[in-house]
Amino acid sequence: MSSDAALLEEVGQDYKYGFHDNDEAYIYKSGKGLTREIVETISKQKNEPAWMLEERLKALEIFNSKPMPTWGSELNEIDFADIHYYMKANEGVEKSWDDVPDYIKKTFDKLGIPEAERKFLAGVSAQYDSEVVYHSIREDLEKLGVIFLDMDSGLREYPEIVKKYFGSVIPSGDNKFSALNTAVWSGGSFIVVPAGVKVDIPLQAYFRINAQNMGQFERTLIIAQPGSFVHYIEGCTAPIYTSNSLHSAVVELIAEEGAHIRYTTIQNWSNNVFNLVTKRAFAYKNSTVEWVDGNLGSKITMKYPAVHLLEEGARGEVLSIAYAGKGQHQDAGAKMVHCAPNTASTVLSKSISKDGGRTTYRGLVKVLPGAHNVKVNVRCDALLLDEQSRSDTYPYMEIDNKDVQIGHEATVSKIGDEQLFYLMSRGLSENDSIAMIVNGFFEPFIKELPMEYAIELNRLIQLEMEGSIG
Amino acid sequence: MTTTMNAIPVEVKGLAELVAGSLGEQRSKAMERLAHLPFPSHKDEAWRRTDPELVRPAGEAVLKPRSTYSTLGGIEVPSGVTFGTMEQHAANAKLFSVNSLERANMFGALNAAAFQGGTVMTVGKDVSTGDGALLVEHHYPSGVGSMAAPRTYLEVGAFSNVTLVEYFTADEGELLAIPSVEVHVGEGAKFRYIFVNTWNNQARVVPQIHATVEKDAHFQLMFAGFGTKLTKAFFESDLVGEGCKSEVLGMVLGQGRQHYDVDAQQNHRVGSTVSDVLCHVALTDRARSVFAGNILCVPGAQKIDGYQQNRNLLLSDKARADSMPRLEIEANDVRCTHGASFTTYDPGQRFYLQSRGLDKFEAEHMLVSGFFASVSERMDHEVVSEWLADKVEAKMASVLGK
Repeated sequence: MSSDAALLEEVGQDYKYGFHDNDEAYIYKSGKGLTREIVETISKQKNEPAWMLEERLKALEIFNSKPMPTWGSELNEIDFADIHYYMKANEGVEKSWDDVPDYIKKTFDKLGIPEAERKFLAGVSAQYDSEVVYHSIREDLEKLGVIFLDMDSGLREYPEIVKKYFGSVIPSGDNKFSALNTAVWSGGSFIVVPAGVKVDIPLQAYFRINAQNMGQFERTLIIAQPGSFVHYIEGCTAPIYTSNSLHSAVVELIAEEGAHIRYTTIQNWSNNVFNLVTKRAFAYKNSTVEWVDGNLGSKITMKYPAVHLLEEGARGEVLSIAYAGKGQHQDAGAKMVHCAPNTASTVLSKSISKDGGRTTYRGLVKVLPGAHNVKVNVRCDALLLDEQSRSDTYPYMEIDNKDVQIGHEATVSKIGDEQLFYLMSRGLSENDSIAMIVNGFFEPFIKELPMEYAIELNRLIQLEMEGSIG
Repeated sequence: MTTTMNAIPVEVKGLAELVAGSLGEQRSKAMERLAHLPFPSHKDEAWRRTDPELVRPAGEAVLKPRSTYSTLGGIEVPSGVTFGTMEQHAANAKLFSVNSLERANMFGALNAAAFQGGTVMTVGKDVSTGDGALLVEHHYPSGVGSMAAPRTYLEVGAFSNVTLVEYFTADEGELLAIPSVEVHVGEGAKFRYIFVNTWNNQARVVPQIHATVEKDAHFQLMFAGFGTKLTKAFFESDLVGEGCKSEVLGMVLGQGRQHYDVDAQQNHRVGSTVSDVLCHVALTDRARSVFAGNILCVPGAQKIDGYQQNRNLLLSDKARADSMPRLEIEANDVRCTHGASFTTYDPGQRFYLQSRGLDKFEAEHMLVSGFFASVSERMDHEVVSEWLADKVEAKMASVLGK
C-alpha cells in the first residue's frame, strides 16, 4: 500500500451532508413511477399554461421511445418505476428566511447555506426536493431589472420569455434524460440579466435532495442580454440512503452579443445519487461562456457541459475537476462546437481517482466547415492514487476546416517520484509533499471560485487531506 | 460444410472450393468462427465513421497476387530466415493459431478462410538483416469484381534484428482487399515492419495487423498510407513481456476523396512496458481521415509509459480530420499521455521559403516533406527511409498539384 493512498484514506469517507429530515412533511408526494397521470398532476399542481403541459407530454413520449444510452457509465441500476417524480414540501417560495419551515431551515443551516452567505452573494435560491423553498435577491439588482426567480415563478410571471427560450438550446429530444427532465421538471432557476448590467457578485442556488428514491429534475434557463455579465453558482447535496436517487437537470444558457456568463457547479451529491445532467450554452457574437464544474459526489455522474459558438468572436471555456472515490464513477467532460469563424475555446480537466474510483474524460471538439480561424486548446490531467482506481480519456475531435489551430493533450499518471523527491529534499515530509502536489493539481480550479466556495472546497478536499497526514 | 457456408454474413465467389483446398482443416475452423460473427454495423463504435457497407464482400472472387521476395540494400537473405509464400509453408500450423482466430473480427476470420497468397517469414535466433531489409512486393492484376485476401505470418526469433517491407500494388480497377498480418516478436528481438498501403486509387482496403511482443523485444510498425479509395485499418499490439516496446508510426497522405480510418490499439498486458504511437496525416482536396488510438493498461500492469500522438496537416478547406486518442488506465504507476493537433502549414513559413527563391510547389513540398520526415526518421533505417521517400515523392507530386 503506497503512502499516498494511505494519506488520502479519509477523503470522501466522511460525507458531512448525509443526514436527512425524518418527518417527511410533504404537502404533496407523487406515487412511484412515471405515468401520464403524474405528468398531468405536476402540471396541474403548478397551475401551468396548456402549452407547457403539451410540452411535457410530448417529452414523456420521447422519453419512453428512446433507449437507455449504451455508452458511458453503467446505468442499468436505475429503476424508473421506483422513483418519486414530484414532491412538494411547503406552499410557495419564501422571501424571508424566517418563514421557511423549521426542519428545512435546519437542513440548510447544517449545510451552511443561507444567511451568512447572503452577505457575499447577490441572490440565493434553495431547492428542497422538487420545489424551491427559499428565494431572495438584493434589492439594487431587482431595481436594475435583473430577474432571478425559481423556474416555476419565472413561468408564471414571464410566460412569453419562457415560452420563447424553453427547450431552444436543449430540445426535449436531445437525449433520453433531457426528455425526462422536460416531462417532469420542477424548480431550477430563471435568470434574465438586462443589456449592459453587470452583476458583480454571484447569484447562488442550492439544491438538496432529502427524500429516499427521489428524482430531482430542476430546469434552469439563463439569458444574458447584450453586454451583460452574470456569475451563477449552484451547489448540490443529498442524504445517504441505501437506495438510489436520480438527479437529472437541464440547464440552458444564452449569451447574447458581448455578454459573459460564468456558471459554477460544486456537485457534492451523496454516493447514492445518479447525476445525469444536460448543460448547453449558445454563445453569440463576442460573448463568453464559462463552465466551472466541480464533481466530487454522486454514484455516477454523466455530464458534458457544452458551448455552441454560433457567431464570430464567441469564446467558450470549461474548467473542471473530478474526484472519484470508492464506488464512484465521474464520467464528465466538455463539448465545444465551433459553428462560426474567429471563435476560441479552452478545456482544462483535472481528475483524481482513489479507492477504486473511476474518472472518465469524454469530450468533443467540433469545427464546422466555414468556421475559419478557430483556436482550441484541450488539456486533461488525471492522477491515480492507488492500484485499484481507473482513469479513461475519450476525446473526440472532428475538424472540418483547415484554417484552425487545435491542440489536445492528456496525461494520466501517479504522483511523480521526482516531484516527491525534490520536495522531500527541500525538507518536507513525504505526506506534506503529497498534500502539496495534490493541492497544486487542483489549484487552477480552486482559484476560480468565489472565496466562500473555495473555502468550502478546501474543506472538502485540501483540508481533509492535510488533516489525515501523520 | 454447406450449412456453415450459408450462415456466414458475406458472399465470396468460389469460397467453397477454397475452403476445400489447401489447409482445408484450418480454413474450416475459420468458417466456423465466421458463422458466429455478424457483419459490422455503422452503429459499432469502430465503424461509426466508416460505413462498413462500403467494404462488404458481395460475391467477388479472391485473386492470387504476383509476389516477389527479395531484399533491399544489396543484402542476401540471411541464413536462419525462411521467407516465401503462405502456400510454400502451408505445413506451419501456427499460421492459424487458435488464439488469433478467437480474437479475429469478421474480416480477420474471412481472411483465414479465404486467403490467397501473402508472406511467411520465420526468423531463428540471433539473425540480423543489418542495414538492409527484406522486401516483398505483391501485385494484383486487374479483374472486375475482385478481392484480395493475402495472409501474412511473421515470426522473429529471440535476439534477432530484422527489417521487412511489404508493398502492395494493383492494376487499375475495383478491388476489395482484406489483408491480415500476424506478428510475433521473440525475446530481446527488434523487428521493423513496413506496410506500404498503395494498391491503386480505387481499392477499398481493410488491413489488420496484430503483434505479440515478448520480453525486452521491440516491435516497430510503419504504416505508409498513400493509395486506395478507402482504408479502414486495425492495428493491435499485445505487450506481453516486461521491458518490451511497441511502436506504431503512421504516414497518411490523402487527396481527392480518399478516406483513411486508422485504429491503433496498444494493450499493456504486463508492467514495465512502453508503447509509442505517432501518426502524421496530411490531407488535401476532400480527403478525410479518422484516427482512433487507445492505450489500455490492465490492472496490476505498473510502470508503463504510453505515448500517443496524432498530428493532422490540413491543406484544403474541404479536408476533414477526426481524432480520438483514448486512454484506458487501470493501474496507477503509469505515465500515459496523448496529444492531437490540427493545423494548416504556416503561410509565414511558405512565404519565407518563397522569398528565398522557391516557387509555391517547392515551398509546400518542403513543408509537407518535413512533416513526414519526422516520422520516417524514427525508423532509424536509412535504406528503408530512402526507399519510402521515393514512394512519398510520387504521391506528393500529384497531391501538391505538380
